[in-house]
Amino acid sequence: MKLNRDQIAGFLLCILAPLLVWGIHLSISYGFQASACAHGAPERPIVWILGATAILGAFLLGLVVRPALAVRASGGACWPEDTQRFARRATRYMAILSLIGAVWVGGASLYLSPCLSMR
Amino acid sequence: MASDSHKTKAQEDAAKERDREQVEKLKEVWKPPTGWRAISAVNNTVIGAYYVGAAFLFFALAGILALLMRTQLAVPDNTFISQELYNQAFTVHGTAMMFLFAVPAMEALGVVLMPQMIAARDLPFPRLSSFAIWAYIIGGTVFMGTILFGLAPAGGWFMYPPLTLTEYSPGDNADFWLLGIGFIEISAIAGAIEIVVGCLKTRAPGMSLDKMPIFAWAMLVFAGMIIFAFPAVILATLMLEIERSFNWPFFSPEGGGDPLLWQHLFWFFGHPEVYIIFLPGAALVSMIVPTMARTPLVAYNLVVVAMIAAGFFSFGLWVHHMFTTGMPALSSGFFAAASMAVAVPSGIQVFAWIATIANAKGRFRLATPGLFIIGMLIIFTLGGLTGVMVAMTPFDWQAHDSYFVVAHFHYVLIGGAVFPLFAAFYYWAPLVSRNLLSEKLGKWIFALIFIGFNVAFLPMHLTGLLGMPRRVWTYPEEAGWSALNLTSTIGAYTIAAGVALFIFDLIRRYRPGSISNNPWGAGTLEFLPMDNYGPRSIPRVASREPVWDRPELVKEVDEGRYFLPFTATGGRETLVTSPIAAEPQYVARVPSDGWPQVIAALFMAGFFLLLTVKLVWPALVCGVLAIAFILIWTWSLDQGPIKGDVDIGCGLRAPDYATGPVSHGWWAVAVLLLVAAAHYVSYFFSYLYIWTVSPEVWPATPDPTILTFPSVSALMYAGGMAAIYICSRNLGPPDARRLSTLALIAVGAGLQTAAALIEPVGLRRSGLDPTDSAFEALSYLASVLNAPLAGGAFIFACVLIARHLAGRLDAVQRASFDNFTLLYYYAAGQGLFGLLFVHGFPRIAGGGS
Repeated sequence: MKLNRDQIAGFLLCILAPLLVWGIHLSISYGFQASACAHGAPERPIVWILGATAILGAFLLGLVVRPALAVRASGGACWPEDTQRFARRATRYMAILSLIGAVWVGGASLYLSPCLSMR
Repeated sequence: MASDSHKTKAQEDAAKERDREQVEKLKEVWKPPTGWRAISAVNNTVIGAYYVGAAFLFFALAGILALLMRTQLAVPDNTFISQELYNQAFTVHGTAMMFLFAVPAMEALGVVLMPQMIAARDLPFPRLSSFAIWAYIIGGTVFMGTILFGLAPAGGWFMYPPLTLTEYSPGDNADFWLLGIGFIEISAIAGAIEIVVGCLKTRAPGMSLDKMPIFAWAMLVFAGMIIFAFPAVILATLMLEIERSFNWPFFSPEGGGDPLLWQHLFWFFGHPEVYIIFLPGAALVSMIVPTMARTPLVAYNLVVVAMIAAGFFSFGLWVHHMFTTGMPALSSGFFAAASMAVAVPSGIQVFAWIATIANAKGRFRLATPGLFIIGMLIIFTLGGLTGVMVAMTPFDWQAHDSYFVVAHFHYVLIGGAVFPLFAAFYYWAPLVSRNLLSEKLGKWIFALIFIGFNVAFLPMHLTGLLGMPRRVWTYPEEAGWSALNLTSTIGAYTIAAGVALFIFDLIRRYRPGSISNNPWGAGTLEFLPMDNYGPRSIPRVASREPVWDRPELVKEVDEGRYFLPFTATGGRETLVTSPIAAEPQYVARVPSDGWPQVIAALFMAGFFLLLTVKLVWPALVCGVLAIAFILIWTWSLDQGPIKGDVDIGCGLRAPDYATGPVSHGWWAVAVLLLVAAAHYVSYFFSYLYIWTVSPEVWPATPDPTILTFPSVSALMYAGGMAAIYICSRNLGPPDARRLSTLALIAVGAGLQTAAALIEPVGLRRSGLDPTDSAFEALSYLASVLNAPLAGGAFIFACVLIARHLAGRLDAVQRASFDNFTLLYYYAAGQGLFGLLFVHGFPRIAGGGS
């Protein structure tokens, strides 16, 4: 019997990609804001955060509309048809959840001053 | 015609005889040891039962501590127990419930149920499971025992410094938490590795990922979360222990450290921990609801997505435990938003259960498991709603560290984990004992626990809003909290009565019975006819509820019409399948019962315990003995191809050996390295965090001569990798002994070990002292983190040399070698990155001194 080598990494990358984008967005938002405030450049992080929200949000929107692209790019053509359908749906739902999360987080920068301390 | 009839009859008799022999052989091979030898058992059904039992015992003990606390708080100005004992009681209660009950109980259910659900004969590394379970039982027992001798930690379950630094917590009490829990976390990680590999590599043929039972998905997410979350707290405990023992100032501001670093690391683990507990609990509900409703789960895809998303999002919420630490408003805004967003995937699951129950159109069975699920829905939803309240920063500022928070997290954790666990006990008890627990008592137990819970914890929302802080030993009558506290205490004792009744029922009914295999009429594979070896044959699966979709499957499986209806290799084995489509790849021989892993767990526990009480030399002896027994246990695992391609049933043949990325052992090492990488990322974060808050302790102009040692070290890492790569390409044929193989492994191991040792020497020669500042301590910490990897690779290399000399390592029998190279290259890569970071970052970013 030939040892079948279907690649789990491609599958995981496909369905986790939207969540990774969400994680990158949160890291950029928090990282830029924390280091900018620590080093005394209070206004710059807002531009970065909103820019990151727009770019990454557009990417997530793309995954919502065309999840099949992500499945194909991850080597999905080799998976069983049921699994491909599952991966397409999972990627779309993940992208919707991640988009909500990213817009929610990014939106906070519109209302709050970047370095205002609550202490 | 008569002759044909005789022939047919003779063939039938021969087939029956063959069938009987096959079953007898399966029974013989998988027979668990009895009497005192039962400790040496490794089969998932046996050690899984030990695991569940131990977790429940720790739950009961931690519950007794809760009763002590509630008795103390029943009336104002009470002196029932001393303040010191009260502090120890709430610390041990919280720690035990989280580390000794909730996570292990879910892991235990994974050990018992998951192989049955995916129709595997066993988990892929049974001795690793056994090691993890005995390490947990020994470590947990010692930790619980500390309260009897006044040695228990008293700093709260999250052990914040500076309270837990030596200055404010002298003695060994805090060390019992740091080393004891660190040890138990290692056991949890071992279990997680087992679950990931089991879930991805040992599913029944045809069970592609989209057909995997929800519980298996949950265990995969659960194990993934342990792999990425636990290393953060392991690093934190390591750093705090180093600071307590050697004065490296990671958390002391006078040396540039920051106590908030502990909070970041702890909650980066601590918040995902909540979902580590809740997601398997939710999956138990997702498995039981369809059976009770007699209809498939509504929105399977969405529920899987929701579990993965909730698990992932939970890593971005840790800061909401730190809203009151004085962070900028916008930072808290980010994490408040993320915390509210996680309610969406959690809500999806709740709505899926409600929709499934509604889909039953009144046929939902309100047997005891169903009752506990209804209870869970009510309690968890209330906890989720108060969770959204405390996710809002302004409210959190008012409720923080009050009894409102105590009420909130008990609603979440008891609703999200304990109620599903009780439902699971009632639902899956027949798998272990062939006996249902009492329905009549079950309804009483549910009523006592449900009513008791709400009587105990609902008033706590009010006591919190009235200003009662958590962890207070007593309170004055004028505070106005007396009636609410007395009510809570009555509720706590009502819960205890329910749990006591459950234990009574368990003792009464937990014995072999004779009920049918599938008493609830479930559609999943764990209710197939089972023996110690699992199902008679491993079925091919074509849907998510295979038993509902093809009722004849049960008979076919039991008649041995599918895979491995016999022992293909003559010993214990399971079928390894591909991770996505679950197509058969090879037959993995799994080890049988034995003692080395139990003894290794014992000595490992001895190592940590003796280190805690500062008996360093006896601890080291125990550590060496633990490693020796681990080597004895692992020596026989890589047996090479014995029979070549073997018959696996269904007209197929498969190899009985695999190496490299196909082999399940390689996967285990790969997952272990993810743990190591997560550990290192936590270090990376810690370094950057401390640099952000204390840039003044970083040198402004580093001495360039410091680069001599790291340069030599880097060359050694590179040389070692080259040696191992050449060796990998030139392993000889079976039975060939090559001096070049021995030499290249020795050179590779020697160079990497030397490279790891040179770095701290270089730091010392450059005048850095880890006790002087957080910068220096963090520079040395990179070497500390490399040491176990380099040491592990060195020991592994020695084993490979011995294997080659014994004729057990060559170009064919090379699974061990492939696993070694994975570890070796990772260790070298981390070492090189560490050199670049520790010596490069101060030059680029600099500091302020």
